[in-house]
Amino acid sequence: MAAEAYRCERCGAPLDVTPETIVAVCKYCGHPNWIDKSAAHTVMIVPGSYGRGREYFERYLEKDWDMRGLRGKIRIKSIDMVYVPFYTAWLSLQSRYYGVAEVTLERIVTRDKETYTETRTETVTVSGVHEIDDVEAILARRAAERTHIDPLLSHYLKTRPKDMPLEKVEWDQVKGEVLAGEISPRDALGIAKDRGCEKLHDSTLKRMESEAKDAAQNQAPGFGWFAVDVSWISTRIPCKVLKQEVSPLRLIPYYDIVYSYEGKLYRTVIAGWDGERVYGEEPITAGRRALYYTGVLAGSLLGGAGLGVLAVGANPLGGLALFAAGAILSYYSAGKTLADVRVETEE
Amino acid sequence: MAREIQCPYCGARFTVPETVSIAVCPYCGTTVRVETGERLAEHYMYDARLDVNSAYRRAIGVALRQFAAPEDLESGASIARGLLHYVPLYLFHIRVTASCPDNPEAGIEERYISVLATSTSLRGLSRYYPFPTRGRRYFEPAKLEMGKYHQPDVKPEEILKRLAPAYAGRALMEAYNDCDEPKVRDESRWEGLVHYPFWELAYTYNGREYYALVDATDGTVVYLEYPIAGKKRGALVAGAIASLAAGLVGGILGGHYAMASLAITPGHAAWAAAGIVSGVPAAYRLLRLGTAPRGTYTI
Repeated sequence: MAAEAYRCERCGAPLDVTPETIVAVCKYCGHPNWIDKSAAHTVMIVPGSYGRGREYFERYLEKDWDMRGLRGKIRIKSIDMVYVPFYTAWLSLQSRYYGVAEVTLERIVTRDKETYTETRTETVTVSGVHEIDDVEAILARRAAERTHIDPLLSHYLKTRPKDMPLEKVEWDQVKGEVLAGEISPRDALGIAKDRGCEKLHDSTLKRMESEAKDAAQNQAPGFGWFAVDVSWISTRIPCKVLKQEVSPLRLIPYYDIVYSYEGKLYRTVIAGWDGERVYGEEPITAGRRALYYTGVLAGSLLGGAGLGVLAVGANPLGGLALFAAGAILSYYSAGKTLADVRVETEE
Repeated sequence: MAREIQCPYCGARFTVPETVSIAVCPYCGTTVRVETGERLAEHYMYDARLDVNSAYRRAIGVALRQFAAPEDLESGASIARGLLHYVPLYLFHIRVTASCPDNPEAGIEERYISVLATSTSLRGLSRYYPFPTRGRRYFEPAKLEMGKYHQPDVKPEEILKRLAPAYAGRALMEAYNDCDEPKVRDESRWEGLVHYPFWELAYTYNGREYYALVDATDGTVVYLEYPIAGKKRGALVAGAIASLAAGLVGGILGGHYAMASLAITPGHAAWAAAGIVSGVPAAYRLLRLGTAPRGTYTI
C-alpha cells in the first residue's frame, strides 16, 4: 500500500520510505527526494569508496599489534557499506553559577618536635560565569543502537573529511546502502542541548570546585593550608544557550565487517572515508588469557600479604589498603580472564 | 474472550483476543487501534535479513568465543528448532522541558526510545531493545507468515505514564539550577509500533538442549546458553584453588614481613587463614562459572 506511493521524482524507482522519513535517497540514481519539504536543506555527503572494505580491513590487520599475529586464521564473513545520516550541532553554552561549599583543609604542623595533621573547615561562596563551546554529532535515526556509531561520529568530528552536495556526487562510485534521515533539525538541537548541558554542568562544577578550594585556602588564617575536600551545601548551575546552529543533514560511510577467527565471530566497523578502524571486537587469545590470569594470582598474593600484615597488627592501614587493592585487582582480572571479547573503540 | 472488529480501511471483519490493544487486519494489513477502531498510521517492521541457518551460525560463533565452551562445539552441536518471532515494540519521542522565567529550556530531556509492547517477552530480551541503524521496512502482513506474530497487549499511554516521572524529574533537577519553581512541560509522544524479528533457537550438544535468541535483522546474539566443557570446568576449579593458594602464600609472606623475622611461629596459621580471604572474590567468579550447569551470555 503506502510503500507503493513513494517513487523517485527523477527516475521513478520505488523508494524506501517510512512515514517519518525526511529525505529518502534513491538507491538507483542517488536523487534526494524530500518527503518533508520544510526541512529541505541540501543533503551533504562524505563520499566513500565502494569496494575498498576488504583493503581497509587488511590494512587494519597489518597495523594492529594484536591482530597481526592472528591474520592467517581470520576469514571475512561479510562486508556491508552503509551511509548513515547525522547532524552536527554547535552550541555556545553559558552558566551563571553560584555555590556555597564547606571546604576541608589540612596542614602539617610541627610542635614540640612532633609532626601532626591539623584539619579545619571553611565555608565559602563562589560565583561567576562559565562558558563552553560544544560540538555534538547527532545520529538522525530514531532509537538506534549507538555502540558502533558513536565512535564513528567522534572520528568524523576529529578528522573532518571533505563533503559535497549529494547532487554533485558520482553515484556509481558511491553506492552502498543509504539510510534516510528520521529526525528533524529541531529534534537534533534538542538532543544536542540535552547532552551539551550535561557537559557544561560537569565542567562548571569542576571549575567551581577548584575556585572553592582556592577561596578556602585564601580565607583560612595562617599559612600552609591545603584544601582536600569540597562538599556543596547549595549550588546553582543553570544552562543557557547563547548560540546554536545545526548543520544540514550529512551522510557518512562506514563498512560493517563480520569476520571469523577459529569459528568465532567478531564485528568491526571501519570509517568509509579514510579506512580507520573505529570499533573493533577482537579475539582473546590463550596467551592473553594467561596474562590476565597472572593478574588474578598477583592480586590474591598481594591482598593476602596485606591481610598477613593486618593479622600481625603492625600497620593496619597499610595492610588494609594492600588487601583492598589486591582483592580488587584479582577480582577484576578474573573477569577479564573469562571475557569473550576485547572491544577497542575510537576515543 | 475474543472481540470482533471492523477494519476501517477495507471493511473486513475479524476477531482478536480481548487482551490485544492494537490489531493488524489479516486481509489488508491495516493497523487498527482496537478501542477506537481508528487506523494507526505509523506501523513498521524490520526485515528478517538472516535465515534460520545464518542465525544459528551467529549463535555458535558467539558461543565459541566463551572461555568455557567446548572447542568442538561447531561440529558437535546441531540445530533442533528455530522459530522466528515478530515482537512488538513502541517507539516514543521523549521531550520534556522544565522552564524558568528567563530560560524556557532550563532543563531538557530529549531522545527517542523503544520499549517492548508486550507484558510477556522472549527469554533474554531487554525491555528497551534498541534498533539497529538499518533494516526498517513498511509493515507488510504477508511477511509475517514466516514467523510468529505477537500482538501488543500494553497500551502506549500506560508505558508513557510510567516513564514520564523519571524524565520530568531529570529535567526538573537540571532546571532547579536556574530557578526555584520551574514549570514542567511534557511533549513526549508515542510515535508508533514496530514489529521486530528475533530467531528463537534451540540446539543440542551431547544430548542436551540449549537456547539462543538472535536479532534477525543484524545478527546480534542477544542471549545464549552454551555447554561447559569438562576440561574447562577443571581449569576453572583449579584456577579458583590457585587464587586461594596465592592468597595463603601472600598471608604468610606478609606476616613474616610485618614481624621482620623468618622464624616459624604459631602466628602462621592465622596469617595464612587471613590471606586466603583475599583470593575469595576471584575464586568466586571462577567457581560460579565452573560449577554452573550451563553457561549464559547476555549482550
